[in-house]
Amino acid sequence: MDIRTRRTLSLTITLFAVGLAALGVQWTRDRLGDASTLTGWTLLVSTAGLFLLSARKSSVNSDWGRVSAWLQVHTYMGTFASLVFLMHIGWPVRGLFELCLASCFATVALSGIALSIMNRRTPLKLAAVGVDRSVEQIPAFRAAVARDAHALALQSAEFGEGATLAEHYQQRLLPFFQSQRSWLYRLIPNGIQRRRLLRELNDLERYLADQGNASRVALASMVVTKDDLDYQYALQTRLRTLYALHAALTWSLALMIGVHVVLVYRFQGALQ
Amino acid sequence: MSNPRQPKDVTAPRPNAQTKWVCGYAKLGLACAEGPDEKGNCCQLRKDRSRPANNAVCHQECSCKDSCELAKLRYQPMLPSHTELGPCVPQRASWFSRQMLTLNFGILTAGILLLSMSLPQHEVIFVPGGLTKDHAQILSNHLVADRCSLCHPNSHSNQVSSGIQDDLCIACHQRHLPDASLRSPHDIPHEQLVKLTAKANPFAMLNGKQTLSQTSCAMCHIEHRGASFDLKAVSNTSCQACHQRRFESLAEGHPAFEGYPYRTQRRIAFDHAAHEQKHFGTKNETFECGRCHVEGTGLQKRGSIIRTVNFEQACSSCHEQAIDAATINGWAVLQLPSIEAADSQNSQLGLTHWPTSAQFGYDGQIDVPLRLLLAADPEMREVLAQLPHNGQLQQITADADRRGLVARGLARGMRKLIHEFAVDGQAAWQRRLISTASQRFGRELTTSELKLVDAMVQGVPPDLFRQMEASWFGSAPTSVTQQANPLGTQASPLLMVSQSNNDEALLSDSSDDSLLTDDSLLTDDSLLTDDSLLKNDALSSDAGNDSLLGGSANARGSIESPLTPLRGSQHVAAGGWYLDNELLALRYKPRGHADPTLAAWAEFIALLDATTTARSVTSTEPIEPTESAEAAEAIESADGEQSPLVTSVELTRLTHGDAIPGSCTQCHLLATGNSPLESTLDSSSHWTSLTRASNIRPFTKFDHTPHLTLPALSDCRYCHQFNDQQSTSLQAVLAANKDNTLAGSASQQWTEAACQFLGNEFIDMRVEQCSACHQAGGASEGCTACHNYHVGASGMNWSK
Amino acid sequence: MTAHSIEVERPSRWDYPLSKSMLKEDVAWLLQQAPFSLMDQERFARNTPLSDILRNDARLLHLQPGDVIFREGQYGGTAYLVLTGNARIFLTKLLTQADPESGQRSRRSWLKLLADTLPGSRSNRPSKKLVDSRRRARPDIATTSASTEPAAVGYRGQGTETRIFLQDVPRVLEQHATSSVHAGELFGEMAAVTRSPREYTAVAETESILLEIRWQGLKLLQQDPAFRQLLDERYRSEILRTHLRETMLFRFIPEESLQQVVEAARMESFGNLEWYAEYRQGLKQPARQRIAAEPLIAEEGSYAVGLWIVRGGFARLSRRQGAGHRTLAYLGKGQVFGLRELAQNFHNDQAVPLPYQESLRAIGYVDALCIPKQVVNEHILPFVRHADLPEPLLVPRYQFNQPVVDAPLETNEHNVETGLLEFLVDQRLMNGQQAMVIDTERCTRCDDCVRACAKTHHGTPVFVRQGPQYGPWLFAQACMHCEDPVCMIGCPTGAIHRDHESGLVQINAQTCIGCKTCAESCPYDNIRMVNATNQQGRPKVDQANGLPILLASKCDLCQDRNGQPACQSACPHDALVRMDLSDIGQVSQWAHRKVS
Repeated sequence: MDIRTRRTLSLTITLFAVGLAALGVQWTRDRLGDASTLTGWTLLVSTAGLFLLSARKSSVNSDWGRVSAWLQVHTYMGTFASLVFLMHIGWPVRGLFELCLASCFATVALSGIALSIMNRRTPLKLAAVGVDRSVEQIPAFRAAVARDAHALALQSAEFGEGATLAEHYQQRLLPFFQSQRSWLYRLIPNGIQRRRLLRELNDLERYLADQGNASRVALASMVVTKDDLDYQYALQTRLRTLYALHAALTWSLALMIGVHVVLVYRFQGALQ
Repeated sequence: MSNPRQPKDVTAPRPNAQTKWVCGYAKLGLACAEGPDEKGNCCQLRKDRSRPANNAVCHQECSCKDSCELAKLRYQPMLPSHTELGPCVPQRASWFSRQMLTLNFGILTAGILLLSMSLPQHEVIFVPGGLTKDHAQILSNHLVADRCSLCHPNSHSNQVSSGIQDDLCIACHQRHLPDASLRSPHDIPHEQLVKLTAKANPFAMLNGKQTLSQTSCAMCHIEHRGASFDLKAVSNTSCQACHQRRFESLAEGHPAFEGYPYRTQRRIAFDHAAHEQKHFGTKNETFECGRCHVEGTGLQKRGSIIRTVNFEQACSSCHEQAIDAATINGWAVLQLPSIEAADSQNSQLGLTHWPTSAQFGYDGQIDVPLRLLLAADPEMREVLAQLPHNGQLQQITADADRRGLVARGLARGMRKLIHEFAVDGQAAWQRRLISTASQRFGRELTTSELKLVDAMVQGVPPDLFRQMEASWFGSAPTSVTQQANPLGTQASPLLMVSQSNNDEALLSDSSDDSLLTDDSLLTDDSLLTDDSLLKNDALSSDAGNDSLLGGSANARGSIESPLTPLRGSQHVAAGGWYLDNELLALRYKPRGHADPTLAAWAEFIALLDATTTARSVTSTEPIEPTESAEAAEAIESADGEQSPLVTSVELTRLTHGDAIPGSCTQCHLLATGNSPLESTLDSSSHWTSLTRASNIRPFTKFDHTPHLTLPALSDCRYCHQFNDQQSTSLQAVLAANKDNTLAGSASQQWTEAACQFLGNEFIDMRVEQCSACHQAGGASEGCTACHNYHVGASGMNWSK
Repeated sequence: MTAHSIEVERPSRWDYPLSKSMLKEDVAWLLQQAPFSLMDQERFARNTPLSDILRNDARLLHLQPGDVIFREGQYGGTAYLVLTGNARIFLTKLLTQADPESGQRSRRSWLKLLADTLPGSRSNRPSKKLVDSRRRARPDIATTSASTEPAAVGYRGQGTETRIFLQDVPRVLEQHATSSVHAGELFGEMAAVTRSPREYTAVAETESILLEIRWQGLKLLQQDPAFRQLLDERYRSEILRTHLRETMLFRFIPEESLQQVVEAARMESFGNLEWYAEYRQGLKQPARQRIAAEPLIAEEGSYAVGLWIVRGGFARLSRRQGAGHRTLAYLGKGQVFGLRELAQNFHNDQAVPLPYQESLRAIGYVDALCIPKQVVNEHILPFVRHADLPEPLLVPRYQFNQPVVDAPLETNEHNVETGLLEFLVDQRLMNGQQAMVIDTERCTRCDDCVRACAKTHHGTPVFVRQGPQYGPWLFAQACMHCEDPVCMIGCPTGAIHRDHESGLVQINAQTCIGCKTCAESCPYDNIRMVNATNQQGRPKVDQANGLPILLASKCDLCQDRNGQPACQSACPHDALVRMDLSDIGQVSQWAHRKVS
């Protein structure tokens, strides 16, 4: 099926389900029924459905269909669950425990939305970088580039063109090659430092002779390589961290939902 | 753009994303081929501790050193040695660290949950919101740990029982919501509800079966919404969950009012229109509703009903004089008839000692009280049956012999009566009244009726009878009675003396009678009493005693000081019993409005009257089996044509209207029900302006207070409009009934006519009057603004 | 790695013979039969004597009349030598009830039976999913018009010995064109040698005894010159004919003309059969030189001397562009070259004949037939319908006596970017029928595919999520199940083989001796040697010297599992697909899929 058709269909089904839930809530309220029980169970079932994705992921050998199809279902069911969640909670949320539960759900839902967006955008950014490196390899490559840069800088000092390049390396480039990037960069990878370092290197041209300039160009390309590695690393770790948060909170969520359900049924006044 | 291939190394392991641990040197690109084991131990350490950890050499001779960056890295001349690198510390693979993070989060959450559950303050954590102020205040006296289980009985046990929480609610709230059927809509019992909804939409029955029979408190009253949450707030949708005839709002589609405001049984025949136009108009006084209708205060403030003020405040300025004037000469409860002198000579008749002043022919009037007393005597029934409606002997004109016969019979009966009284005192009265009443009712008297009889005879002084017998019939009572009350014997001659002095006054009084019966005055008598009548009973009976004692004191005083001739009524200016020796009568002087004794008599008569009316309606039917054996026997022994029952019916029918001086019943509508005393135990309610039970929560509620603050509504007539179509006035109704007095059903007819008049005095309200303000954007238009969900037990008749 | 290693004997070549039922007596009997009786046993190498070859790489089949020996489309690494009796080869497609097209039996059961029909070391595996015929439906391969209805089949024998036989042999033979194979003749060897599917169905006509010889054994037997001669003769006489008959172009050619064609056809090979070594060297050269170095089959602008039909391998269809050569397409098995020029010359007599408009070069190794122009004009073109001919060329690029106009670089010819096409050919990726392609614009590098692969393959992944990249497309190092699997060439035991039905390249772990030949010959580096482990995961070590026992490992496309391969089904973002790169249409379709 065409991707666009599938998306339209899934969205329609999701919105239809949400509308159905809203109608159900209205219908129940009109009959003095307990609407929160209805939305609660809907939420519980759909949340349980969300857990199916991790179940599918953990069992490779079963013939349960493709993970991508499951992810689609997961996404739309998550949208549905989030909207039902809004119907379920009273506003403002009262009670410390309920507040924790609601905020946990909200965090999971929001991280899920962020993930679905980043799953689309991160690959595009990564593909634009050129050479693709896996995140496990990057530290090694980073170390290699740093070592090369260091050797090159030492070498340039021996050419007898003065210590200009070596000094510059010492002051500006060494910290760049040897250290990790700041947390802000890891959160929002950008090209600010790369551009600044390249400009500074470019400015050195007038003080260097041929060999020095060759080293300078080589250093510039190393800066680019290092920055590309950092960029890829930041993008990938960012995605993985967000996914870790999303996944880690689900079990807390499951526990709290369990307690919530038990409490509700233990304390329900309107037991029929 | 192609990627340079890796060197051909067919034995190099593929990167495995599934391994949990990664070599610690992987970050430097120096990962060993084997890697750590499943528990994260370095393979080198495991193999041989003595061997250096860093085994970082490319394990394959690489053919393409130039293109392989990793290979370049491996062959770097400045590759640090293992001692510089330090020992290998295997790292978690990213998926594995993510899994551990998830696990840690789960454990942390579980730990926090368990910890907070075990805390003594765990209710604070798990409560889903604060309680309302009132409930919170109640619970603040309990230990925190116990609070939940006070309302949630299931919370700490494994048993799940239904609806227990509602029982807990009702256990506290049943004091102000007493009905047992609180859990059904509008407190309707289940059977009635099923009957009511049977005709409704079957679909509604289908889905509402549970809700119809049992609704739990929490469906509408939702707790844990914070201290200031209004638990009683109910939305319109909640109401319309059951009510199938839906409408948008009060302004749009609300069913038309029928008979609203409710017609409560008014006990005072007050013609608002006539008062406004005629009486107030002629006196140039403004007719202000607020003069009489004031808001109750304190305990009197029952709900939202605007109370009326009492007689003294509202009516006395016009009506008190008339009442006083009507009763100034007292009320002849008992008066000897006149017989022929010859009859007193005839010893066979037993009238030998008949007073000479009552021997001028067959004449005299037998009033209602006397008739009631005589009716208890079986011998007298036949005689009483011969009497005309107004009790005037003279009216028996057809046959002189018959008049004599009746007069003699009456005289004998009275002689017997007086003797009985002289012997037994109040007990004899009570006996006779009870006998008459039970004969009439065909049953034993109820407690309240007996109390009424007590009130009637209360204050009747027994020694007056002895005196009466002694002074009128000359035959001295037995020495026993004299010893029992020596005061009476002393007083009697004095009273006899004073008797002659009263003649003129009495005559003049009687001439005033025509004035007293003036219609206009009497109809003005809107006798308004407050509900403190019972409370005043004790006082009034004391007053009665006082008057008796006062009379005695006067008698004593008359011994000491020169005797001043006094009229009988003047002896008892504050009210009380006295003898009229001139006219040979026992009189009672009421103390004005709301005389308890008179009230009791009036009530008693009204009671009999109502019963009579009811039974005369069914008189064509066979006599009910509840009739006592004596009564049946009496019928057998009766003359034949007229049964004693019919006699007694005739006896009291004519009485009611005029039996009691002061025309109480012209304003106080006593006999409105078939048996008024049975409907309410509180007999005083007959005299109050309204009879609304205090514990009833009606379906519709109304609070005047907020409405009266509006200038437009401060005039009550915005809502309570006179019924202009009711052309006649209450006075005219009274007059019309007055003419019918002789027909024998005046009092009952009057009551019914008056009630009908009062019922139509104001026209019904219309929805538009309310919805003018109660609409969207204006005042509240919620269902519960006017309607109660929980209604009183007997408040509504839903089966209508 | 985790537990202590276990010491085992290093596996060697004939540990698992083709059939355990081959007894010494059988071998002795065989050695007395022709052609083995004529062979000089001294010519055979010492470590591979003739008797051992026969014992381990061959087996005897006793067949009843009508027994199906193999069927068209199956893959097999064995040839058959008729010892007694007679066999029939169906020249036209024989459709039987056991075929999937006939649909008379449930899929699974016939697959199971089929697996049992061809006994071998793999036949007693639990029934597994076989991928649908992965052979491309080539429009230019004739589907038979003669066959009427599926032939009725029966089943004989039990368990692994079950065999399909034709119910009514005479009637079936009547309906189909067949040729007989008599005692002493060999058949079925081409499919074995070229690793391609069987081109015909073979049935035992009478009660007969056949010797089934493994391809590896066949290779060893060629040490005998007489036997080698037998092979060559056999090829020319029958195979060519069958092959031509199958080609759609020749379907209406009368029998006698076809005979002429067969006789005139020239069979030529270009390049090295073991081309991967050259290829690796050539990668370092610039593309221009590389193409120029490729063996030229026909050159553009030269006189159109004949019609070329690719029989095996891939040929590059290129045109000169600037200083280099631009690839227009690659031709695979059965595709023809030069038809347009020849047809135009034939139908347009008076004009100057048109030279070849494109060049044809061998990519690696190409097996091709050349039919001379005269034969084409005389015996083929008169019988070819116009609808089967390509569109006539209105503005030819090359014309005799006319200057050559260098055409501007057209883009998106064949709906695939030329760059991608060049890339695929340069990297020899067009060989792949199940190549793993990752769209890096969708891939979040979550490594779920690798993890899923590891889980399905006892903890070690069988591919690397890295490899040549073109634009956003990453061609990961996973076995592509090549159309021409060069890895199989050197395998001494036949451990790496093609599945009978699906044609997937598989490694039999039992017979793999860890010689690294396949891994080293794979041009794509998709086979790695891993430590062999036992069932408990303990690594096996040679008891003689303590070195680890190696085992070739590569993607098996999760053949033991139902549905898609684990890597593809585990991808959460639809970034990973297995694709037939030899099919340009499929590549183009995926290249232009809507990217959300």
